Amino acid sequence: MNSPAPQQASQPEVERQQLLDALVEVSIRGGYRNATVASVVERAGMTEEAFHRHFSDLEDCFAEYLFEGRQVFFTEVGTAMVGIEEWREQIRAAGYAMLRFWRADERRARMMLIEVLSAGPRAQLIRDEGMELMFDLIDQGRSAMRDPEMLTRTTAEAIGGAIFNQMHLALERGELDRGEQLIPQLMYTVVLPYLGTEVALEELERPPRGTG
Amino acid sequence: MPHEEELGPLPAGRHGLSREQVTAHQRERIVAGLAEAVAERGYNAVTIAQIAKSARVSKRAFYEQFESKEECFLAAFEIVVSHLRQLVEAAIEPIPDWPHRVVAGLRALLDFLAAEPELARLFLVDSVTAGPAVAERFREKIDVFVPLLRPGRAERDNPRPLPDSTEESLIGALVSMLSRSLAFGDAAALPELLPDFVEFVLMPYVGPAEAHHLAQESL
Repeated sequence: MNSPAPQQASQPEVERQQLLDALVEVSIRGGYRNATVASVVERAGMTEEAFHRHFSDLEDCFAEYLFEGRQVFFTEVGTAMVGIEEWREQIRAAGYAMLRFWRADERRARMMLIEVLSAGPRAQLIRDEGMELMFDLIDQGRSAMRDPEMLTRTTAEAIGGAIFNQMHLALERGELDRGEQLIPQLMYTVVLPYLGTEVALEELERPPRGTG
Repeated sequence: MPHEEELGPLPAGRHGLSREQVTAHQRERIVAGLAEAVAERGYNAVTIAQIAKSARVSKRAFYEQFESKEECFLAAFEIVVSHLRQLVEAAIEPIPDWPHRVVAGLRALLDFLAAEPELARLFLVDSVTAGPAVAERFREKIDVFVPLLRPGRAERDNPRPLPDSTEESLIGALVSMLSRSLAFGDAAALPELLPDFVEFVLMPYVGPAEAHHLAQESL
């Protein structure tokens, strides 16, 4: 086993990032559920001691990775929505930004959408807090309704769940590449309960723009 | 049967059971053991030794039935799905109109999950986190519910077709909501989700107003 290079030890941030990268490598290759601290440090060319300077255990390492990924996700989605007033257009902007995020780094997508499912409670909590934010955005569709009391927040949770499921499937089927093709379906699913059948079907027929 | 708890593997013949009956019994017993052990420790953490112990069989008896923990889990999963499917079909069978069949089917689903919280978690929480092979099987199995929704397309008076993935998407939404409710909340409260489920599932087919009406009616 190599001892850590001296310059790495003097650069804790670099070292930490290398460990996170190694976690991704190991999880993508063999699944997070089979990952161990030993396999991560071996991949990173470091010692377990170095690992424990940054993370208390493997769960901690995954949770940190996920937390950072979630920050980036919401920064990108939030930025895409800046200046947009109308809820329906906010959803559209968020949808495209979300797809861009998943497509930009497929390994990250796999970690955040699939591997997270076999991670521990802290990681699940980070994921679920993220989903709550998504539900909040969807739930604002109620304010566009004549009678907002007609629906409950559960509708937004169901829609969010459907979208999450759709992303999960697209990733597993290798269909994220044609991601923008998913937008009409996504828009349909979100607007149907709030804006009605006609608007939803209109969304379905509206050609997607390229995500660049 | 005396000394049930000390039985270990059932020896063939002693109960007047055929080898096949013993084997079937043994499988069920191990599957029940798995459900119990998984409820206690979670699928990922549970060991074959613990499953065997909950089932009160030897590890050897486990390996006579299943090659791995995963295979045993899949067997448990199959049993839950086929049981659930029978329940749902029995509930909808006497009902003539499609929207009310859906209501009855959803009610049967939620009542079952509320009554069997351990199986519900096995089915909806652990299966999603038990690794790719199980997750894949989960998706295949869950598709058996698609044909129950498809006839709803004939209920629509709108000439524009629904997207192909409508049913898959609705089922994905239900699974996601159920697994979240089970992971965080109280399984006994699941039946309270019925009106929301009814409204969400029926909306693409009968439109928002009628879906809302049917949801209120289901209370």
